[in-house]
Amino acid sequence: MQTFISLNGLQRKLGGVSILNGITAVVTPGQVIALLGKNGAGKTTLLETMLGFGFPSAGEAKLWNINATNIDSDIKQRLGFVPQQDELLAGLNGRDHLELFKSFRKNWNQALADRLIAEWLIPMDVSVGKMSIGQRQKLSILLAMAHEPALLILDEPVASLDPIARRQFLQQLIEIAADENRAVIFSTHIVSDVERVANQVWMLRDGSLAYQGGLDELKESFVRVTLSFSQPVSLKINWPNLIRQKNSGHQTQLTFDHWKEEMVQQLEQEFDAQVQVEYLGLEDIFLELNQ
Amino acid sequence: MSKVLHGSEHLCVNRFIWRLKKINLVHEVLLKFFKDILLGAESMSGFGVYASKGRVLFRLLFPSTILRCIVLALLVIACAASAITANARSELAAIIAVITFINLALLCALTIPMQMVALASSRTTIFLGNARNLLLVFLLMFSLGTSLMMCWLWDLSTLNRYSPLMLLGVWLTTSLFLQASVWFSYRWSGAHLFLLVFYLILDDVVSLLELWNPLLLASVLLLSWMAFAYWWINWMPEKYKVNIFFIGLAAHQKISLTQRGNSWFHTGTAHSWLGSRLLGAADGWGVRGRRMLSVLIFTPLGFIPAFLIMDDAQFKGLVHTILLISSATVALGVLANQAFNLRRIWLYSAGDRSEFYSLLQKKFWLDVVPFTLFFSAVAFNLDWLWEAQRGAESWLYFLVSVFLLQSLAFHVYWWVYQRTSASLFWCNLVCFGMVLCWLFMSFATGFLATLPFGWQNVSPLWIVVPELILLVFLQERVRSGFCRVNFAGGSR
Repeated sequence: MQTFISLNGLQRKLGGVSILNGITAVVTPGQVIALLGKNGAGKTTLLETMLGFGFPSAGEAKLWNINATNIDSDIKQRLGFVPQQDELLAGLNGRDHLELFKSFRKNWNQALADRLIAEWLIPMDVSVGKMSIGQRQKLSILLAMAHEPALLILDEPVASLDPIARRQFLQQLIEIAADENRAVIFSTHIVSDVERVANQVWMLRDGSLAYQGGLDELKESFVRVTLSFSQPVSLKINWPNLIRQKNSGHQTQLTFDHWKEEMVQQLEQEFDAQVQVEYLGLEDIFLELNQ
Repeated sequence: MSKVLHGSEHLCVNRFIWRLKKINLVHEVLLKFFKDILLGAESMSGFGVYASKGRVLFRLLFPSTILRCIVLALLVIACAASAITANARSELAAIIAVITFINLALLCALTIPMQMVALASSRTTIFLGNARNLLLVFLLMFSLGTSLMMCWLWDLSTLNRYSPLMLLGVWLTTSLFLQASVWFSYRWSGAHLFLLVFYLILDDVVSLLELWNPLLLASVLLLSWMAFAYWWINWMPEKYKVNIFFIGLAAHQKISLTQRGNSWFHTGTAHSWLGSRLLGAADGWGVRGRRMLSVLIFTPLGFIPAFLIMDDAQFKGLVHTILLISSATVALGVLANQAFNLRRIWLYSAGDRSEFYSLLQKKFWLDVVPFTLFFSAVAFNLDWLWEAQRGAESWLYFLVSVFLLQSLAFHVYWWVYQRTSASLFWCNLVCFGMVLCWLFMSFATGFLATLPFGWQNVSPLWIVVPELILLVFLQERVRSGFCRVNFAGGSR
């Protein structure tokens, strides 16, 4: 299968501070990857390094098997990028932007552009300086999508959008996801959006990927188990894949990674307690992994 | 063993004891002061509170460690050189003192007004009790300190014409300059730079003011501070006025979009894809012309006060200085803009990084040459109108040396950019320092104007040869350095 992005032991230091610590991952067509992480976890640096904005301190980042810092025009045409802070040009209006971007792109879907302008209510005749932050963000997303890139990378694209615009944007991502020849990576803090459109999750913690894999697999592998005892409990449990333990009265709450169904019986046998299993939502998993 | 003291002896002993007590008191006070500074808030006495307030104020007004270090270093050098000059009457020490002090005053005059406005409009500092009053007192003290230092240095120079009236004149000029700078910073962020031109003609302004009645001078000074204090204390900012010197790339981008994007001078159509992205704005010929017009309208404003006050000979000297500063400022402005926008063209350029050198150079000269030629043409024509003392050869030399400086600025800027992983702060600081050095060398060689010292008419080769050597050293390094360049990140 064709690989859009391959990261191999990727490290990046900025100003002597280690931001990315040996990230290894691949992106293949059909994937919609949600990049999650706390503020300062290194999401923007990771996205920018995989697009060749900066050289890795160690390891490599490749786009279509070419070092990201050496990509040519042909590969650049296959990319769409929406930075965290829009990079629209002062003194031009939306229509000027559209014409300018169109002149650079080999492929351009005018019907898609027109549809998004109408649906997203972008005021194309207004100078970008007079647009609201949300309108500028919509225009930025439109400009990154209209040439139908094989790989679309978005850095916190919905941060400035209202709920309606956010829903419309996610709908657009779902349409892209339906095309198995394309891939999307987007960073976000809004976990409910991830559950709606992503099929893969990369969870970044302290510059390393704490989890990378399918969204469903992630949700199936994280559980919160409640052990109920007949008397107050103060024991310290030491089990493999146990992330957290919290004792409270007659109960102890355990959070497990890589959970397997047969572990219920094993827990019942070892502790002589009533076992209750609760599967976690993505937001709870994010909190558990980052606390 | 006891001894009976006579009257005169008794007096001497009393004086001695009084001196000892005085020394002890000073010793105690100094000890307490340094203890307060070193131990901080834990053992706060009166001095501790002042020292702590002073330290906080210093950090607030210069919110960058590098800047604080530079300010302190310049202050130490200026004081040391002044002390040597006062004791040994060393000409070299005097030159160092003057140059260092001018640099320090320039740095403070550039940063303090904008930072004062930013602090006064910040919702964080607004709740710090009497922060505004403290800033007002600081500005008053700063104006007095600067004026005293300036008069003292002036007095040390060959002019030797210090008088209390002169101090009043310098203090009034400095006060008006600082007050206007704060107001300009509030109205048009960064526009107070234009006021610096008034300081170039300080000598003439003070000469005029010395003709005034001292009582009138003192009254105007008092009134100016009363009016400023009234405005400053009652000023209610509508929103936070950010200091453009100390903000990140993201905030710069936002300001650029809203300020430049809404102005007639910057609105137009794009001529080329990469050119527009590198400029961060439309690069059509029409809008280029309008942008140039904005610079050409504002630059002559700098001439007006000088033209009104100075005599012909002095004004001619100033024209050259203003032209040089304008040409260098345009070059630095273009470079800062290019460095800010370079990351924008990475994903949209046809070639790889190595091609950026020629692209940047081409766009740089495209922006810089028209301005420089225009400035030079104006100066050449003014010279001709004034029955020029300088020939065409001299102007050709001027033009070549300005282009050489601009070329050097281009290479130094990108060399620092490559070496510091795109730290725009260092790029701007190093290039600004380089232009200042060039300016002082130009004064020292008598190329632009002369300092009030005997040191002049040094060969212009002292400027040109180091420039050429540095240019040869940097050219290939900068060209090849683009293959490994990191772009200023959006996360910064």
